[in-house]
Formats: sequence, structure tokens, C-alpha cells
Amino acid sequence: MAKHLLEVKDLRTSFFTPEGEVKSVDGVSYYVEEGEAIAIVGESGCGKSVTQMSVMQLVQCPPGKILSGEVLFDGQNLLEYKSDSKEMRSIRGSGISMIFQEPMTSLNPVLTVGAQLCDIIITHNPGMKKDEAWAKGVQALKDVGIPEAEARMKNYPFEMSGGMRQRVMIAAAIVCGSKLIIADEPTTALDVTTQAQVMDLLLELVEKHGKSLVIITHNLGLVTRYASRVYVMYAGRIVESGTTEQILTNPQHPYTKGLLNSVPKLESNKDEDLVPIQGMPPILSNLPKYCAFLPRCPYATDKCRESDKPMLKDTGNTHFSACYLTEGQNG
Amino acid sequence: MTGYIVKKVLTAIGLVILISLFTFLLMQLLPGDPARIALGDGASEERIQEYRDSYGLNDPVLVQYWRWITNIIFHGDFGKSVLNSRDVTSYIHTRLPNSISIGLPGLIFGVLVGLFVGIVSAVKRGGWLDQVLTVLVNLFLATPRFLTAIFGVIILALNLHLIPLQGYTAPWDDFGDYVSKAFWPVVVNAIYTVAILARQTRSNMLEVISQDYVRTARAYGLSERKIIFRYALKNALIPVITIIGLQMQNIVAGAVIIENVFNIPGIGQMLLNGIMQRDYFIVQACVLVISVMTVFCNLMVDIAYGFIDPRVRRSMR
Repeated sequence: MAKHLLEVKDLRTSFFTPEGEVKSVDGVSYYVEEGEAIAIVGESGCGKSVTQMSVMQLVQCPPGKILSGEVLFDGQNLLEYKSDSKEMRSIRGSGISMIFQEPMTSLNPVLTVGAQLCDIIITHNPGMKKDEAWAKGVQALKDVGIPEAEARMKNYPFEMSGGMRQRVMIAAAIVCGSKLIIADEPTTALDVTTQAQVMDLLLELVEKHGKSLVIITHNLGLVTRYASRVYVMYAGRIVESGTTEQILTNPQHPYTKGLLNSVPKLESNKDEDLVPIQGMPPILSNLPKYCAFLPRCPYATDKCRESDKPMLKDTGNTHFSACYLTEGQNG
Repeated sequence: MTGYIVKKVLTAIGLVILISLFTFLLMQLLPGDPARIALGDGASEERIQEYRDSYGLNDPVLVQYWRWITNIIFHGDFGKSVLNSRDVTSYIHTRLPNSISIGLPGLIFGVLVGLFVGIVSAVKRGGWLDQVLTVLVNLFLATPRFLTAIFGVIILALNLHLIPLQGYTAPWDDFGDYVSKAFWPVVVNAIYTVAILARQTRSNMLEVISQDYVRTARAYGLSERKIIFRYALKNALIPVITIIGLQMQNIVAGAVIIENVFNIPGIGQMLLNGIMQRDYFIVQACVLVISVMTVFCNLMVDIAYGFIDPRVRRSMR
């Protein structure tokens, strides 16, 4: 079994707002192996991005605060370092890199691509000469398949297409040798053909260069092609996890089933209706004691209403589900 | 970039010509006859017509304008005061440096302190320092300039006897005297620049700090200092430059109030006296000088934009 590059244990992050405590991340545990791509899936506001921002310690404080948990990266607990400490800063960009959703706004509009890449390179290689950093930047752009890399270095972000900018972000992510890349909805803002190119590029990094990849998405289509394992998040908690095949062919949690029923499948019968998940996403500042999905769950029983939130339980072959309905099946 | 600058300069020249024509016509519309003011109520009609003829005031308006503007362009001659035949050109020559000696230090202090206060407020947003500074900034923004000036005189001059009541000595005549007399006018000018700039810088900084690319910079390990100065400040300053440009023209235009409160013989006082006495050539000359400076400042801002913001530079090629 490969080594766990990143292991998050029982992470809790809350935002303290005038409306009360918002438990955005409520006891999340997951791991990423070396050279593995995993996906974290969930609807907007389920805490999937905040989880990753907590790993990087980039949560705005105040109002946000990482309350407890462990973030083990390469064996060291990142939460022992302060957010603005030297150790944490050196992890960011050369240990763990993030790629964001909006390539339009993620790059500084008044600095050239080259200047921004060099900033990152010199930050992690203090004392490196400018032309050395520049050459390294050019190489990184070549690595992500940007043609005429030397000329592109002198371009401003607004002179590039969305797909090109996302490639620049990926170049920035790998230029200082990060082992883990967290891609937060990396293709949401791109058109479909560019989406595939960007995802193929990310997967190439995993398969050829042994990087690890965390894809945060609400797009189940991405998951099937690119991730080997999937975590499904709902209301700040992981409700189901397993291999991609387990999740897609044999979903256990009603929420996962709902997600899968709400997207069209190529092989499915045309007459089959898509079934949306009923109701609204929960308000995180006012969560019930019982299962957060209960108000929207078509299978809810009296036991669900009377019990605390269900814990993740193995339903067989490391396929976990946090639901009372699935608890009895295999265990 | 050269094309961009040439275009902006040509626009600026056209603007100055339009303003000069507009001022000229406006002065003609004002009620009151400078000849009558100069000669007094008892002057006979012939005497007045004679006086008007000698200053060319009976010619058609456009002829007068043409004569006036060509004299300025080709001879650097702003004409003579209708009231006392004084040469307007040399009048401005003695007055303008006085205005600048009050306005320029105020602007420089104001910009430096204003940027500093704005950055500090933004970085320490929500803290006690930010709150104190914000209250002060809003207080001064809400108080008219002459009121601040007068309150300061009451406290600093009348009660504490720290500064002279009013008056002016040029710095090249007696520097010590200049400092003591110019201190409060300069501070009053600076306070308003500080207030406006601090507020603008703070809100721009806050806006920029919450931008995605600042988050990106953090996510790639850049230090907070580098983020503030290289990533946030440059972007936040782009709109602030406009404000600095507007404040620059205050050196002359804003002088009207300050110079009259403190009795400083500058161009603002000259303008106000000229208007009171319907002294056409003085008013026209002052307005022209002020508008040229204003247009020049705006031109500088436009060109600065081109240098700082690559988006403007590329679109203006």
C-alpha cells in the first residue's frame, strides 16, 4: 500500500458570524496516497473548499477558525504551524499547491505571467538569480504545453484565454516541486473541450510525474474519468467514501444516490426522468442534531429522527457510508 | 504608447482653448462695467467710453478674444489690469510662486501621510487604530476647509500663541518666517488630501485584498509584506492616482479659500479680488493659469495610467 502523502484527521473549521457558529467543516477525515487522484464531491456550500483552505491554512481569520484536527502532510502536522509562519509559507507552493476555479481572476492583472511565476520561484528559492528563475518559469510553461513559452512569459493574464490561464496556474503549481495539487473546481469556468485538456494535463502530472491530486468538484462526470477514489460531502461532513467504481455503481448514501439520479447518463433510457434532490441545501449555522440530510431524504425512518448524526461505517471493501439505512446491511 | 501620449496632449490643448473661450465669454456676461468701477460713480459718459476704448472693451467680443489669446500665445502677454494698468503677466509671476509655496508642500505631505494612513487602516482593518483613523478622516471630510483653518487659528494662534495670526513670507525671503506663517495653511491643505486619499486607499486596498489573485499569492507562499506591497498596493493605487491628480490642481484652485482666510498674496486671492472688481484680464489670466494646471494634472494622470496599468497601455497602442 502506497504511503499516505496527506492525511486529514477529524478536521473542524467554523466561521463565527453574527448569525452564530457556522460549522463549515465538521469532523472531516480523508487521505491521499502518493501518485493518486481523489475527488471530493458535494454541492455548493457543503464545505469542500473550506476543507482544502483549512489544509492550506488560508481560511480568513476572523471570522473563520480551524478548531481542531490534524493535517498530516509527509508526516508532519501542518496545524502545529501558525498560518503566517515560515514553515507554512514554504509548504504553500512547494509542498502543496492549489489551482482555483476562476482562471480569469486568479492571476494578478497588472503583472506579467513571467513576473508572477518568478515571484513564486524566488519565494521558494531565496537567492536565485532572476534569469535563472525566468528560465525555470519558461520550462514550467513548456511542461504544461504552452506554445511559445518565452513570449508567453511576457504576456499579461488578460491577453490569454481561460484555458491558457489555467495552464499557467498549473505551471505555477508544479514549478516549485509540489507533491500535492489541490484543484478547486479547476474546470468550472472553462468550456467543455478546454475542460478535457486541462483535466488530461492534471492527470498526466499524476500518472507520469507521481504527483497527488485532490479534485474538488460538483461535476460527477469529472470524477468518473479522473479520480480513483471519491469522498462525498454534505453539510460539512463526509457522508460516503469509496472507490470511484463503488460510488458510481453501488451508491449507499441517499444523498449520493440523489446526486447520481440527478445527472443524465449516456447509457440510460431516454424516457427515464432525471430526479432532482428535493428541498434546499441546509443552513450550516442552524443544523439539527440528527442527520443533516434527513429533511430531504426520501428514505428517512423514525430511527433517523431520533438518533444523532450517523457516523461513517464500513459497508464492505472500504466503502464507507454515514447512514442508518446502510448500517445493517453488511455489518 | 507615444501615440497614446500625443493623443492625450492634443486633447488637453483643445480643452484649454475651449476653457479660455468659455471664461472670456462668461466674464462679458457678468453685470458691472470695469471702466465705471475704475473711474468711480462721478465719471462722465465720454470719459468712460474713452477708457473703454483705450482697453479695447468696445470691440466685438470675438475680436477681443482673438487679440487676448494671440497676445498670450505669441508674446506671453496677459494684458493689463483694467483697474490700474498693472501688467497682468508680472502680477501672476509674483503671485503664482506664493501659491505653490503653500500648496505643493501640502500636497506632498498629504499624499504621503494619506497613503500611509490608508494602508495602515486597510492592513489593521477593524482594529482600534483603523477605527480611530476612520473617525478622524470622516470628521475632516465633513468639516469645511475654512472652518478647520479658522479653528486652528483660534487655538494655535490666539490661545497658544504658537503661530502668527495670518500673513505670508516667501520661503526665499526668510525661511524661518515662512515656516511659522505657512505651517497651518499647509497643514490644512494636507489634512484634506490625507482624508480623501486615506479613505480611497483604504477601500481600494480592502477590495484588492479580497481579490482572487491575492488569495493565489497567499496560496503560493508569498510573504504578507510582499503581498501587500507588490500585489495589493499597485492594484489599489491605480484609482488613487486619479485622486492625486485632482488634489494636484488644488494647489492653485483650492488656494482661493485658504489664501483669503490667511491673507496670503497668491493667485487664489488675486482671482477673488479680480472677480469682485470686474477686472476682466486678471480673472481671465487666473482662470487660464488654473485651467492649464488642471488640464496638465489630468494629462499626467492619464499618462501615469498608461505606465501603471498594462490594460490601458495595451489598449492604447
